Amino acid sequence: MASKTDWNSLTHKQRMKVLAETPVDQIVQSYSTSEADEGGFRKLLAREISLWRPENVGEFREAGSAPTKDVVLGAWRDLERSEALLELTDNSIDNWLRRRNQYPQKTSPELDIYIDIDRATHQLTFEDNAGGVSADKLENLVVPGHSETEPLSQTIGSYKTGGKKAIFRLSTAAQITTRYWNPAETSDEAFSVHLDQQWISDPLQYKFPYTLLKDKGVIERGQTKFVLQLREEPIGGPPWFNEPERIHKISTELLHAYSLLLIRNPKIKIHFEDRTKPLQPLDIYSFSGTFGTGVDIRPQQVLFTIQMDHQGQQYPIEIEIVLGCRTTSGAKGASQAGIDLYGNNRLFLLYDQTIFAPLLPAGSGRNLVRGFVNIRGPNIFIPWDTHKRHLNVDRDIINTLTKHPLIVEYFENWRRVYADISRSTVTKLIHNPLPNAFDKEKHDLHIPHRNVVQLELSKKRGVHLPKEVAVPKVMAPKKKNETIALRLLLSTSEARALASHYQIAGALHSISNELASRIKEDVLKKAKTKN
Amino acid sequence: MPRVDDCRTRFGPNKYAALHLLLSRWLRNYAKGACYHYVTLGGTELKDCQSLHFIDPGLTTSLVSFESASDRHQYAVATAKQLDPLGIGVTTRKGDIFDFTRESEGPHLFFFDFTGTCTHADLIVKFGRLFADGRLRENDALFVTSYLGRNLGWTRVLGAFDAEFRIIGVSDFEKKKLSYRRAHPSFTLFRALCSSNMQADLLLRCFGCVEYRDSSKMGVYGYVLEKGMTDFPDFIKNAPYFDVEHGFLQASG
Repeated sequence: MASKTDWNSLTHKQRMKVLAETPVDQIVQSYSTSEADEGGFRKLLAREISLWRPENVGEFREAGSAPTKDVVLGAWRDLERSEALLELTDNSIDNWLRRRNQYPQKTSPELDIYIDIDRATHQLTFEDNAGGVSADKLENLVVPGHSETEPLSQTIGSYKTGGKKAIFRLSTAAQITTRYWNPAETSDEAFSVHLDQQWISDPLQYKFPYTLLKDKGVIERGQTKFVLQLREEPIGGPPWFNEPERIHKISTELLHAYSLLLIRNPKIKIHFEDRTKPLQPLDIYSFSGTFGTGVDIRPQQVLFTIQMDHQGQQYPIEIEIVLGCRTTSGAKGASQAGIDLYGNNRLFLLYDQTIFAPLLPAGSGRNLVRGFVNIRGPNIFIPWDTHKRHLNVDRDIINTLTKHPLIVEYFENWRRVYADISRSTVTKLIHNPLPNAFDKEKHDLHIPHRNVVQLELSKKRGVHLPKEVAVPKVMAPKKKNETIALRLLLSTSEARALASHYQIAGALHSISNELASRIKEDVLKKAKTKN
Repeated sequence: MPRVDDCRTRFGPNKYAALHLLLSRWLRNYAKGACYHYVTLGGTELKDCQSLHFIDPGLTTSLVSFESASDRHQYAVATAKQLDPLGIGVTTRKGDIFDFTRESEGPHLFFFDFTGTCTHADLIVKFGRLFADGRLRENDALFVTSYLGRNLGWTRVLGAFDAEFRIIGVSDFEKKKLSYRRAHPSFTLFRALCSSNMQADLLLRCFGCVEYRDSSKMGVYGYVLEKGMTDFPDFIKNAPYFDVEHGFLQASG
């Protein structure tokens, strides 16, 4: 029997011709696909016929043209200023980490990022020493879709548009100077890219001018410097960068996004409007450190290791889940209740109260919940949007996060504790913070309980957390011994009769309590006998 | 003054006619092997246990009946004692059927004989737990009853299943009512499957629903569980429907 032709090897036009001219039974005899058996192939054909309606297809012509820059030109509507700066920062961190991994000897031992605003010229300077960009890769800085970042790299700034959007968001013109630290040390040149107002506003202009600097000494080897001529915002009003509130927002957002990363990677330093002192990581968790007989609500980290599929290949992922208890049950304040979400140590969602809501207590117990989920692995698996500020709940990993029995069990352990705490004298129990928020030796948060648990996605039944995973505990508050008062009114003669029956002597008003307890005792005895 | 035995669960013949019709469908089409363990909400009279035993004692390799109300449980214990000499050994447990622990790997037959409507959110969670920890698993079968009488208003009742109706392509109000009557426990069970993330691991089939009138309108719905994946439209559309009262048979689809 002649071997069948691979259906996928045909072009679209060829497939339409075959579908239009050949009955399905005959197609199945002549063609096959490696991805499905005959039944599956028939289903595929049925779907294709339904989709393309080949019987109504005439002669094919071609249309289409290259995309324009409109997508990134619209960035000023999509991004906040702080988000634009985060995009540039993400790129610097990715570039430095990648380079340090590839060429540790030819990379600056520390990453220094400087963000400054010159209030006289209305220019923002973003500067890093992540290694610089070579002449043949200058388009990575400017042209959307060009980048060294790949979806399967463990990065925080993929999607190949972030830095470009940032330029369009913030500026009307930009000069980018870079001096590439060539690992082979066969060249040492500095370049300057000029993006004038006309280039930035023209959606069809992709080619951009760049120049070789006459004096490369104006910039250090490995440095890149964006000088952005800031947009006039608000138009006609005092510039935004002179308002303390707006500057405070940017520094807060930088700290939220990168505190965990800065703690875990102290070689990374971000300077914002202060070249002498980098931003210091925030203790955004303030976990309770209560620990003693019958009580342990100190924070806990479980690192779930899994393998996930992408285009037929398995990739290792780590899901770090840290749960603890707040030191207050107050709903307001600097630190709020909720679960934060990170991708490769970079925060993208703060104080979330919805995704894990079914696994956490309702009511006042919810105000005690604090923790984070940090997904570490190839960028493609991290369920963030292109701006890294929203969670895409439709991603596969969310199902694992909210439904895998091991993760559910881990949350359940804490749910019980939150519920028990909320029934006790809350403030007294939780108000002691951990002695140290950070573990300076380990370059991490101070987390007393740490475990690694392997998680198999296909195994859903009969799986439990290993015994070594600590279970948080509090002494369950004793149930109140509730009492009810029954009123029994007796006439004097009735009371005398009962006193006589129970052989209690004395004035009626002085024996009333004793009489009541004897009646209770007697009636209860009768009731119990009957039961 | 109420009679001493007012709390007894005495159901009319229509209920058992409906259950037996569905049992017949299951026996003809889906029953596997000879031995089943039967877990039920058998009430005070345990009539379903007697039926099953009459059909084939192999269907009642073990018989467990749950009753959460103390007074009813006492009656159930007394009924079980009466059945014992007939060779029908029923273990009566005071408690919630959802707390059932599986003691055998063999296939189980469940009868969730609810008196209310099988749509409550807690049922989704409870069935979800049964699916997730394998207490309800492949090769098991389950029968579920649900109240079809008066409701809070059709707009409210149907609104709760808006997504389900969109998926199965039902937009007409009257057709929605009909779909609800035929399939609302299926909606609940599918939501339970999804809540436990088992929809890709368990194939749930509805092999029929039978409407009957006892003291009020009720439905009994039969399901089998197999290894596989449950596709919601297939799950809903393939269930045949019968009305005991009117002999009304409606083809699946």
